[in-house]
Amino acid sequence: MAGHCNFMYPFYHLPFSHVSERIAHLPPLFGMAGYEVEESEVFFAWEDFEAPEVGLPEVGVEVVGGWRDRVATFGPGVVLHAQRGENSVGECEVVWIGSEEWRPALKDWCFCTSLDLDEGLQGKGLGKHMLARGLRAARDRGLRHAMISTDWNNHRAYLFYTNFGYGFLDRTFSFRKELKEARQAGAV
Amino acid sequence: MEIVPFRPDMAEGVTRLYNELIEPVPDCHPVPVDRFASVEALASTRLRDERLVVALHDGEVAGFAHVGVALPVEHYPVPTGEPAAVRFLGYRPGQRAVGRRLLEWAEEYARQQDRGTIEAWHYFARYPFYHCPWGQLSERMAHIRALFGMAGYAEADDGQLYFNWHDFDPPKPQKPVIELELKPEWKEGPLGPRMDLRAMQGETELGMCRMDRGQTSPSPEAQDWCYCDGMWVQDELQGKRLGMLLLVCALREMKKAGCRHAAISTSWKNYRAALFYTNLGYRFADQTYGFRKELAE
Repeated sequence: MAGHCNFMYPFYHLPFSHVSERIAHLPPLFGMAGYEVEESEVFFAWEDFEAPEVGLPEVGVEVVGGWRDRVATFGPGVVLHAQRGENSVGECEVVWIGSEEWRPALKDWCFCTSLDLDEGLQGKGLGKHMLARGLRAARDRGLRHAMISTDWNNHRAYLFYTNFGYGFLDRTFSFRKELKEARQAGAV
Repeated sequence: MEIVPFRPDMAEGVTRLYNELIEPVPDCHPVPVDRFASVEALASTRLRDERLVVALHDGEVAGFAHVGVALPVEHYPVPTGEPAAVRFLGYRPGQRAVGRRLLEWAEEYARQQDRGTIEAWHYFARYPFYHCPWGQLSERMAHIRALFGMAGYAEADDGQLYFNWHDFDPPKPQKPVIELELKPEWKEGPLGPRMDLRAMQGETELGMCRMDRGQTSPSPEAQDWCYCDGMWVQDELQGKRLGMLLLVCALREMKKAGCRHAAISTSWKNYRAALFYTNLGYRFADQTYGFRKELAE
């Protein structure tokens, strides 16, 4: 496995990023050596974003949450949950990606690290509501630019983000090769 | 919103939309309104029964689609089976309903033409002024790519990588390991002057590198460019760095002729070529994609 985001340097590129297509002499190196593309994450950016007002659709949920000092392994950011009774049926995280010391150029940027809804709630406008609300909360904290990413083959998310206001930024690849004979542990 | 056949009075709205859409695409130049003067003016010799339709929203151009049916053409890599072809399909980000309606219209057209397959953004059918000669849909027009993905189109496996090299500075050529003579030949090409550099051994052609001066635009800054439209080397001479010699010498010839920037493209699957170009000095600029869908009855 090569170039996979799980094993990347923390200061390289963005969360979930594999090898950028802009480092263009690397993918053909792996290709020549018999590696296959394993995963592909695509990044979108929206400079000076303007998150629209999107009403909460009538799907029997309420959306709660706000700014937190820490979001998962990232820095500060917005965490929103869609609640149905006691259950969380969706979440949206928009982190201040520029808070990390190795990203000084991104100090005004936020990154949506998670936008997940239970399957039955997709396609009803709830995701739009939550993302718009998450972005507005980030904007209230002074963040001006936004990024987001998805798998290259997640056409629904791709269509959503590109029509919401984000534009294409970068495509990244990870590579995989099955080695013929893995040596036994301890073998010389 | 309504979908209507293109009329000349829509040329301004269509041109404005086209220029907006290609704005983020590297080395793709805006066009003047006369490019969209009529369907006849845009017609391709590689297609029949072309149609250009416009999506009007409150009387304004909100999108357009241009389709035709592929003709078999000699000496050109053509899609098999003479499919219906989408030459261009554009809508503004945020108006996905417009895009969807246009794509549905294009598929209905394909059925009316009795085509079981529809190709989109194949370089076979591209507008001659769009992107590079092998350009398909640029990844920068991401909302259009998303539309085709959602509608069940598969990516064609010959997606093109497009590289450029600003202020290119080719290295000194190394002495070839076999005896040969390099012969440049200048003529008129599709973009501007064209130079074919041949590696000759007596009467035998060992390899060739083709350079076109200019990009797919008459604008002055496009004339500072050269585009390598193809190169080949005899199979039995592969690995003797003859390709390197040809490309380096062709670049030097173009630089001598006044070109400042260079561009080249290759299939994503052609790792050898991509490795060669990126290590010579070209940099990644864009990736383009074609799409194909088999239509149900």
